[in-house]
Amino acid sequence: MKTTGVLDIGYGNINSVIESLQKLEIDSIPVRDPDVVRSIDKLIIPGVGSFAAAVSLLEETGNREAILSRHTKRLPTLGICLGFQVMSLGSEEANSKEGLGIFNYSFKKLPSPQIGWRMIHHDSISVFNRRDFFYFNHGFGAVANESDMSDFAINSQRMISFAIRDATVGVQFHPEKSQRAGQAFLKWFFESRQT
Amino acid sequence: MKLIASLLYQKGSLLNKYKFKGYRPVGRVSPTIQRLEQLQIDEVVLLNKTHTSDPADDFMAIQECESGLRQLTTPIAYGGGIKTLKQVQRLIHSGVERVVLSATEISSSLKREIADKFGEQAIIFHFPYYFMGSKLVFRTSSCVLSGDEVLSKLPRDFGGELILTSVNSEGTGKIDFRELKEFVNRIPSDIAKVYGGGVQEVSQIEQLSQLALNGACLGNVLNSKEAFVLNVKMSCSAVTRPVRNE
Repeated sequence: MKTTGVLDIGYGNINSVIESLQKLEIDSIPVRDPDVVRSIDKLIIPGVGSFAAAVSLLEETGNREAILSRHTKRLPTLGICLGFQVMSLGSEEANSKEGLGIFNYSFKKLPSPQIGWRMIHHDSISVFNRRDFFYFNHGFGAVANESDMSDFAINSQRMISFAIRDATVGVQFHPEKSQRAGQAFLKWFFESRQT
Repeated sequence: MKLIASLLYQKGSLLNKYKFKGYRPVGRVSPTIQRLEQLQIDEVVLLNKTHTSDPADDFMAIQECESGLRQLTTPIAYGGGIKTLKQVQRLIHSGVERVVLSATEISSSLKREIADKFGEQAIIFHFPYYFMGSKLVFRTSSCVLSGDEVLSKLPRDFGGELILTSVNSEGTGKIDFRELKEFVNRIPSDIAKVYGGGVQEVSQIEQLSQLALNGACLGNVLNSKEAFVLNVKMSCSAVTRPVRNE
């Protein structure tokens, strides 16, 4: 049986993600042991927290290497909000902490926090072509300035809202809090990222 | 502009104002908020009025409603009785994105601890304000503070959101936009702000938008007809702030 884990290392809205998956009839379990994280079929890294605290917890629990190993082995992983940010190069929120470097972006403090619902634009990913809105709540963001838009998507504020590299996906919005649109996105992730 | 349902909760049930005399229970958290999702409410602010019988038990009030909170796919902010970092951690673990704190009653050290662990975007400061003559004031549980005293308590470059509640407007259906404008003008423009208290007419949404407010709280949403909520929602979507209206 395929198993989905939700990383539970002391930050993040774990139960909200688990319940959201339950609504799609996807059973998931909280995971912390790096050996489990390294090999579980699908992993979700939740959001809500600060960059420095999250990276420190990843290091202390041995999960930094476990997530990088998943990426190398092309096992499906979804990072949500802060879970996406920790997979980047780093963030101005904590200049002394290095991100995992899976995505080649750095996060900078926004002039004002982005708290609300926004559309996302991507030509080839169907779930972003329905004029649906997704819920964002973040004070740091990565601004798109590249011409190749195939591996990321932006919202109307030009913030990178979705990124994909091999089997690893990061989203700046909260699918678990984006009502119907968020459920559709999670369904897309589970159907398109097969192990 | 976003539409926020501001809901009261106590002892296992959401509460509704009843004949201007008090409150009565109207239902459990999860099914009630799921109905609001059908009306495209953008966010919910849940204010827990449960008073713990044991002051040493920080989690009793949270425990009562957390199973309902985790079932929701709508953004939830939770306020009421928060005084420790562990309470915030438990709330976020249960599916709350943000906590509502009293701007005047929470210690600076707790504000900093929450921001360090969860990020400033996880904090909403509640500012219940009123004017004495031309002087902006805030009432706390123990004293009255001036506007400048309270605003000076905001962390520098604060990256969260403020709820501005006019004490005098609550329940009246009227908003004193002159007073509100004066208050808004004292707050740094890059801090996100929403208005709560007294929103009862669709026409008020446009005026709130002109003051660069990001959202409006409906306190009487459980008493309101669906058509009214949908009209307010349409009005929120029509104004210029970039939320669900691109």
